[in-house]
Amino acid sequence: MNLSILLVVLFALSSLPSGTAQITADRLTNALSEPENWLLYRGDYSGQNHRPLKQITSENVDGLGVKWVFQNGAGNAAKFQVVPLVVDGVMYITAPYNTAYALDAKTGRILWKYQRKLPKQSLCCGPINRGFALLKDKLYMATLDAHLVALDRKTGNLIWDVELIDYKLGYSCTLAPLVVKDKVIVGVSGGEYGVRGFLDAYDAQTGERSWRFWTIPSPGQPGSETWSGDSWKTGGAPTWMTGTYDPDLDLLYWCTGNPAMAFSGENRLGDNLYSDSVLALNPDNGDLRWHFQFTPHDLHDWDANEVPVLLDLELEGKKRKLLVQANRNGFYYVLDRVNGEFLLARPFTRVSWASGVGPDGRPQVLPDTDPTEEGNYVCPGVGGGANWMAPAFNPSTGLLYVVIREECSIYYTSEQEFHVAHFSMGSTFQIPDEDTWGGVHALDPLTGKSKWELKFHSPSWGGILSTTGSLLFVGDMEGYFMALDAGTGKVLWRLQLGGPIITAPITYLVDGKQQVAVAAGSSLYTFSLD
Amino acid sequence: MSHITVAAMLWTLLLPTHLSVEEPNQQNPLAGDSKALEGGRALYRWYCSPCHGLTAEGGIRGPNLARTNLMNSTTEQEMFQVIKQGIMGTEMPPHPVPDDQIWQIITFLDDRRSKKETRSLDGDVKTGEMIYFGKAFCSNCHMINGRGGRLGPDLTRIGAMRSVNDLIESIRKPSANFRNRTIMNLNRPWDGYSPVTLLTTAGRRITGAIRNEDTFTIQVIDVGENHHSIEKSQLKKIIRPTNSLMPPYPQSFLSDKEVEDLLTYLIQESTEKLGN
Repeated sequence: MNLSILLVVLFALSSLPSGTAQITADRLTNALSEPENWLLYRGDYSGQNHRPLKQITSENVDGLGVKWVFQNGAGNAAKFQVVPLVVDGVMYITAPYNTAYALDAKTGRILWKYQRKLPKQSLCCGPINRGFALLKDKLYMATLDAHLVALDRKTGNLIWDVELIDYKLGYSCTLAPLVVKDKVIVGVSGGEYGVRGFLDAYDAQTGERSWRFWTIPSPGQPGSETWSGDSWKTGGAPTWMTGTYDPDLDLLYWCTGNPAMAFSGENRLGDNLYSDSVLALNPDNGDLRWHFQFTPHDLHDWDANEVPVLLDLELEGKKRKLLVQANRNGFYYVLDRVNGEFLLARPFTRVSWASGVGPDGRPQVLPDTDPTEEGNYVCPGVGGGANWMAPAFNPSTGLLYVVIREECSIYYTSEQEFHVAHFSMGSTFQIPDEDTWGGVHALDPLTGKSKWELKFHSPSWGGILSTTGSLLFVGDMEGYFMALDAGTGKVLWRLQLGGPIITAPITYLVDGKQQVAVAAGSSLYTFSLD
Repeated sequence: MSHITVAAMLWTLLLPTHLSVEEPNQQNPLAGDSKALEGGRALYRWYCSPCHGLTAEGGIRGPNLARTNLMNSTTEQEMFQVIKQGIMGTEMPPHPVPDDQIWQIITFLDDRRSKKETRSLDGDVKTGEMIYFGKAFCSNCHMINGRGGRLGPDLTRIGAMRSVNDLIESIRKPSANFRNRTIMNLNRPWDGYSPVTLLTTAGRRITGAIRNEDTFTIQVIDVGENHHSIEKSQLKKIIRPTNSLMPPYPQSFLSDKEVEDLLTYLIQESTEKLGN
């Protein structure tokens, strides 16, 4: 009798609908064909942050209102920097100190919560986390103590937990990983803590490491001659922001940060490859196909971890596969993403350290622009002309929207002893007593020329989203979340959210209705027209 | 003793030191050491100056450390903990560096604090109070212990927060170290007291101090202590003077003795009300 009850139960279970279809690698590749979901940190592999959703348009956006709010409540310094994922009415977010939640996208109510137990020792780089990656039934989060965890998407249960490297060496992770085919790609932070940077790939199913690419070559490897002495061992070049991927070329594009120590270069003579570069890697084995270095022998902390946006545009009558980046050093670059050929560079903010970029892609550095003992005023400042926040491309306007920072620095250098895992920049910087501001610049992606500019009160850290409703959504540091006309930059709608917006917004559908979501301060807001 | 008890005792010995019982109130072991002072100066510059400024008197994110009554540390032991462990819930991070480096930084900060106090005062408190509320009309703009005006900062604790030399300069030349921007007060722009004159498209003129400002709006308290909130789209011009709203007090108006009485009064008030 027991057996027949068991058989009935098993039969019943097997005839239940199988739930949502699997989120396969194919669906990630074609993420834009299901715009109702947000399946990757950057929306899709191209980094364009553009979404084909137009229930909300420039005509009706002034009717946008708050749908629900979620509060993290983790304290003053621990603000959100997450970009949520949304799958079939469930939103997945990460929060400071490696907490994570699944929320009902309709009501904002918590479905499950995950909390990682972090070591008591203080960790580099701030307690934030930028978001999940997902594949099939698993979510992936990189942690502050340099681990990668896989959680069950439906319950938040921990499936596996692997260590990338010993965090006590100064490493940490704050980025959202990237799933490519069957692997989870994850980078590290620690450029101010004397790490040697790397990029890792893990089997998405088992968590076994597939490959590691060290961003600083060891002696004998190509590029090692660009580091004097032993400086390569603690050279920095971290990989702390999520890259982009071209499925047709099967190339992974990932960027690297500053060489260490940031403002002193005497102990690391040479170009310091592959710091401040974009790398094109084979995602199956981590082989380097090509690289381009934006700032050789950087002395101003100009990490190149800005978004490598992939665009297919016609250049001089020919269709080209391009990679564009508004770099921290104040120049906007256009490269060929097949072979890394340098095509163009043009300043998009104040630049006082170089007169231009030569035909070989190397900056033409002006004299007396290095950090000095007495302090040297240089533009852009430490925060750069642009930074990690997401730009967006709108195919209808043909414009690339870049969030910029106008803030110069006074750079100082001096001797500094190095300690493992201790913060060191090789002296310091100060912000000069003058106006600073931020804003959005709409650039012609082929020339870097600005078509319109919207000024913000202060240099901002919020990314920008583009939609086919002819809209841009972006937030500023004083807490305004706004909708702009993508053609003109006119502010069509704004709302004061009470906390700085240090991330990019997303848009998706819930029960067929378009919603917009953005994190501000320690809260997450969703908006809709009704 | 059972095996479990022995094991528990051994386990306790293996615990990392930051989990051990609190240290007794420790003084700076490097106080007065000139090498520690030089080392602390360099360490301060590397670790602290991006937030707290090159001279430790406040920077873009961190408050003035060259003063006597810091909010989170009244003893050297507390200051050690604040630097080592950071302040939870704020942007002050921990600094996992060797202990002697932290004591060097404290040696430097103690020196900064003492350098700011090179004079002692011998004025008369009552006379100083009369000057505050009378001849110098400080109370027109500044409150002290709940009495006075609102256009300028509250001076209740100013005697403990600023050195005598700083206070003299603030009275004689209020615009000398003037920074008309809220970058020094990123987290508390309403403490900035930046002067402004707004000209609206409707022809109004509003002069006062900025309480807050953003991309779209500006909030001002005017010279009559009235609150205004204005959309920038309704403004023709925003004039930002490079002088403080506070007038200078030359010796011809307030003698050195009168300034000394005034400051003695201010310091007395701040000392008595330190619990504020």
